Amino acid sequence: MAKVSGLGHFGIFVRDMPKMVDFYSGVLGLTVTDRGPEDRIVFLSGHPETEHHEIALAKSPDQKTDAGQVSFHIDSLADLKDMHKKIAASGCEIDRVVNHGIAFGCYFRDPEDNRVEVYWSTGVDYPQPYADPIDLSASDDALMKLIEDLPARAGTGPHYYGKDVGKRLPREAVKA
Amino acid sequence: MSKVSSLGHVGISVTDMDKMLDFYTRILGLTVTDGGEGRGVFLSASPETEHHEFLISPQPDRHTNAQQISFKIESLDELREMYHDLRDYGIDTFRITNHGVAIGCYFRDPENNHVEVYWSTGMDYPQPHGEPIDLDLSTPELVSIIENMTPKEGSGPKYYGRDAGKRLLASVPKMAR
Repeated sequence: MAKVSGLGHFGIFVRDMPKMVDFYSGVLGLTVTDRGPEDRIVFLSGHPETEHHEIALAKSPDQKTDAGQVSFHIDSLADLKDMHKKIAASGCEIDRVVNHGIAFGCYFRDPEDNRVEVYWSTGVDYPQPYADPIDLSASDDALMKLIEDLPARAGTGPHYYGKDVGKRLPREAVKA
Repeated sequence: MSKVSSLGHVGISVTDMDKMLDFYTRILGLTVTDGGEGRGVFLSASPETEHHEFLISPQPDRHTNAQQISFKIESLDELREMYHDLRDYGIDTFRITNHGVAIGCYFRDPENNHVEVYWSTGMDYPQPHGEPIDLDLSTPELVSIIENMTPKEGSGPKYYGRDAGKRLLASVPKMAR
């Protein structure tokens, strides 16, 4: 039975191509791997050697993408803290910074109002959806303690992701 | 200098959750990892390492209008099988394209989102490039078409995949950065 093996890339419509390419390459740090004639389409990747593009920016005068979220991994908590500052300094509006248990996520609007997240995966399982506001200026220790101190809660699904630290209670156990 | 390491997940708005959930789990083969009960549903193709890659949320008054939502598949044979599965499901309009870097099968999901399932060839080829290709050709025939593609001028240097000499340097630099 054929099945897809992963999300590969996402394409969004953009109006101001130079501004959007500047943001996605200059601030988020994606690499421009190819561009179409007159920059009608620009391809970007976080790991260009293994994935030709993860984001395609497609110029359109009238179409607008309205994604619930477009979310990017970042490798460390230190990088997330630094990126949070960079995004704020770029003039983008930060919507919220939250602890999801499985990740710390920084949600913001890109220069064309798309809802974007940069997140650091904690590697620990925690039932979703869950979000609790956090302050990224806190110390790493204080932030990691937030993860440790999360109460166990009921999940709708079984444990799949990450390390099982006993935070996912079966649905039935809680209902009973 | 911090930089993002990769695309992790995307979220789309959905009207008919049951129909979309059935499509993305039963046909594309994603696993439900969490959510539901009237709220968004989290889906992943590799649930052990990625909690969710795709999030569908009930928001009947919104349409995501992505330029494309593209999922990988591991082999050419699986891509062909997926194409047949999608056809059997009732999807009747496809665009099957040889990009050089990938063969992509484009279609509209049950709520008119523009979706691609693609098999990466592992070979570099300047983008954008697309030419129609018949997925019902044999795997060796398809591979031969890719191997015999004409070299083409690229806007950037080679980053992705195997260098098969298909990327000619642009005579005038077009890269602004």
